[in-house]
Order: sequence, then structure tokens, then C-alpha cells
Amino acid sequence: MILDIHTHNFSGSAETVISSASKFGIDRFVLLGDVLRYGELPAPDEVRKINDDTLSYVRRTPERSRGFCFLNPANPPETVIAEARRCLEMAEFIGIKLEISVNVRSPQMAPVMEILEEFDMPLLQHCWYKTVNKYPGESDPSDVAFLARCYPKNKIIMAHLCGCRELGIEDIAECPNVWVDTSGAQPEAGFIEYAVRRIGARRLLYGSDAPSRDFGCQLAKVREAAISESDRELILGKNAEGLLSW
Amino acid sequence: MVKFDVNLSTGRWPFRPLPGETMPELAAHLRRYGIEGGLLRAAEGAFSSDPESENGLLLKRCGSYPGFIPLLIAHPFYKYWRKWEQVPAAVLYPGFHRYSPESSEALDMAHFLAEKGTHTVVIAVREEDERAQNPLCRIPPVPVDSLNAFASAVPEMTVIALNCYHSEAKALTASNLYCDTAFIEGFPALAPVEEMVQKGKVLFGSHAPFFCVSAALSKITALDEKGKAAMQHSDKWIFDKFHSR
Repeated sequence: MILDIHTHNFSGSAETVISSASKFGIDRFVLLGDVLRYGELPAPDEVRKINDDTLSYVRRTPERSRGFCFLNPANPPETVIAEARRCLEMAEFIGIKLEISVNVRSPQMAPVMEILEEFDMPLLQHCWYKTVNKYPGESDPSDVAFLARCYPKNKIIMAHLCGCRELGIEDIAECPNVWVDTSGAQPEAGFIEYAVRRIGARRLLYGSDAPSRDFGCQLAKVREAAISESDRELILGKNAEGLLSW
Repeated sequence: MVKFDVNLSTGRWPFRPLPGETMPELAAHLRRYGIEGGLLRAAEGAFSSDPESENGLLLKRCGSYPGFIPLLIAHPFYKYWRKWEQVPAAVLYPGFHRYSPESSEALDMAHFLAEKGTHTVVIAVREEDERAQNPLCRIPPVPVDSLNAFASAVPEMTVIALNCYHSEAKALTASNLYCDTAFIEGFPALAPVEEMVQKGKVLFGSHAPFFCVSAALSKITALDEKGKAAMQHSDKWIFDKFHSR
């Protein structure tokens, strides 16, 4: 069973993502929205449009997909809370996705983390240790570790294992409320093995970042990793099934 | 399917251990995926201040692996390559070695090598995603314009630009200039360079052991029958260049 925790429904490509998932044996997938459609700091009405779009795609494939509600925590808190509540009260949404609007050390994270705790749902946070091309609001693994320690009751998925690299794994190793997704970046070898050794397979979740990335290339990172078959099964879907209660 | 990989390395990469970095491990790993050989570089070579000795070490490593063609490093500011005779292929690291492929030194070297029988030059455009480089060791990618200029200046040679993103690959215009599959990842993976695949301008390259071999193979599997046939044809073409002489 394969559950892809990190796909996007970009305008014009969502249909292809949905149909391609089957070809690669992906049984279920999480749609995170067209998160950069309106830039780094989308206004409340733009955030709502992104989530409405996610909702419409989830409703087309209800057995196979769920959505994460996308938010911009830099918007006025009452609008952030209202949009989060609107989405999370619908069965189609099972978590919140944040991109690069604010660094997660910001106090603007408080309402997001509080509502996630209330709904007992995870945050999926874009994350990367970048040498170049870092966005002003982008978070790195040390920021995610900080957030995880501030909110120990919250469940956090740190995206992009190969972008977070070994140091990123070290950063969150002592934060049991952080999971790591394997999505994105080039199909570099060795990172899954490192992460399994350091934090255990139970905290790793397969994700692709399709259609920014290709299902086959991203699955290869997990399928080719020198790990046990039981660990591979956990990473490819069983962990996500448990974490998302889906 | 494809059997010859133009983008392979062996040895110690300074920034992290690569899984299967020794020659026996690499050869065995590739064999599991049906890859019988390819063009092989020394992972340490790009950083070494003694490329001639690195070449010697690579030749030793390759010795008992006849399917692998060692790519000797050619550095325009060292002149050891003047002693070369019938070296079929060489690799250039302009970003690491801080020169432009269109500089007179690089072109003089290329003309010399062509006269001495080198028929293929591989240029490492990058080895890693620039975003993931060590902050104290930022190696700039080789600009596409200089790749075109270099290849146009040595039309008798086959020039392979390794590790291009698809936007760079699409800007490779010289008729004797090729790219490999390793860094190209659209949706599906080779969709952005579909036309180039049909024209035989894209060669199979995995960038193992940096990258997963099966990721590169999955890009071929996802092609339609025409695309698969084109990749198979270009794979055979580059293989024959090294085995039919």
C-alpha cells in the first residue's frame, strides 16, 4: 500500500497527477494545494480559492485523496483561524500545509498550532537547508525543531528529507512529535538509510512533491534504499495511515 | 532497455559517504538494475590538485571492470594530457577548476586531444543541486552558452554535458552536444525534453552513486514506445562509440 503524503494540485495539472498516481501504484494521496499560485504571501481570499480548488479535487476522488488546508499565517489572525476552521470541519481536510509565508519561529504560528491541537491533525511544513535561493519566510529544520519544542502536543511533518539533509535529521532527532517526508529534491541516494538509522523508519513518510517532481523518481528513493522490507512498508504508507487516521 | 550509463562515479565524495561508492559495490549495484557499464569518473577528481594522480588511481580501479570506460580528467592548466595517446574520452570540470570551456586554454586542449584521438569530452555542469552545496564550497554551474561555444569549436568530438536541468538541456544547440537524464525531472520526468529524446540528444545517465539508479531507469520506463526506442538507440550509439573501435 502506498500513500503519498505530498502532492500538489497545480492548476492544469491536477488531473494528470491523479491519473498518474495509479500508474505508479499509489493508492492514496494527500493534495496540499497550489500553494504558490498567488506568490509567497497570498491574501485571505486567495488562500480560500486555493483551498476551494483542493476541495473540488478531493471530492472528485474521495476514496483516494484528502486535502491539507493551506494557510498564510501572516494574514490577520481572525482570517487565518476562520479559514482553518472552515476547512478542518470538512471531512475532506485532514491537516494544515504551510509553505514560505512566515518562518515557523514567528508568533504568528500560535493560532495555527492551537487549532491543529484542537482538531488533533498534523502540520505539514515546507522545510529546507538552502545554501542559495532561500526565501525570506522560509523555514529550515532548526526552525521546525524550535516549533516542535514550543508545541510538544502538536504533530509536525517536516517536508523534503533530501533538502533537510543529515543536519536536518539531527535537528529534529530529539523531537518525537516530528515526522519527515521524503518528497522533493533530486533522487539522491543514502538519505533514507541515514534517517532510518538516526530516527527510525516509523518517523518517515513517503511523499513525492508531484507534479513539481516525478512519481517514479521519488518512489525510487524509498524502493532502492538499503532498508528492511518492513521499514519500507512503513515509509511507503503504513506510517501515514496511522498518523492521518485515514 | 538501456545498458550503458554515461554518468557514473566511484570513490569518496568529500561531503558525505555515497552508498556503493567503491568499484565492486557500484558494479554489483548497477548489475542488479541491468546496467553493464558506462562512463566512469573519480568522485574525488573534481577537487584534487593532482588530477594526473587521480587519473592513475581511476585507471587502477577500473582495471578489472572492462565494461566501464574511465574518464580521465583533462585540466587546461596542467599539461600532463600532452602525453596522452588514444585516450577515447576525457572529463572537464570547468566549475570546479575555475575556467570557461570557451577559454583559449580549454579550446587549445580540446583541439590537441581531438588530434590525438580523443573522440568524446564529458563536461560536468554540476555535481550537486546548488541549494544543497556546502555553504563554504559553492561551485557555480557551467553556463550553457559556454557549453555551446565549446562544442561548436570541436565539431569532430562528441560533447556530453552532464547534470543539466531541463531548462539548460533545452538550450543546448550545438549539433555535437548531448545531455544526460540525471537532473531532468519534469512530470513525467523526461516530458520537458521529449523532442530532444526523439532526436537522440538525451543519453541515459543516472549520476550513481550520488543518485538512485532506479530513478533514472524509471524516467525511461515512463516514456512511450517511440521514446523508449529513441533512448535505446542513443544508448547503443554511445556504447558503440567505445566498443566498436
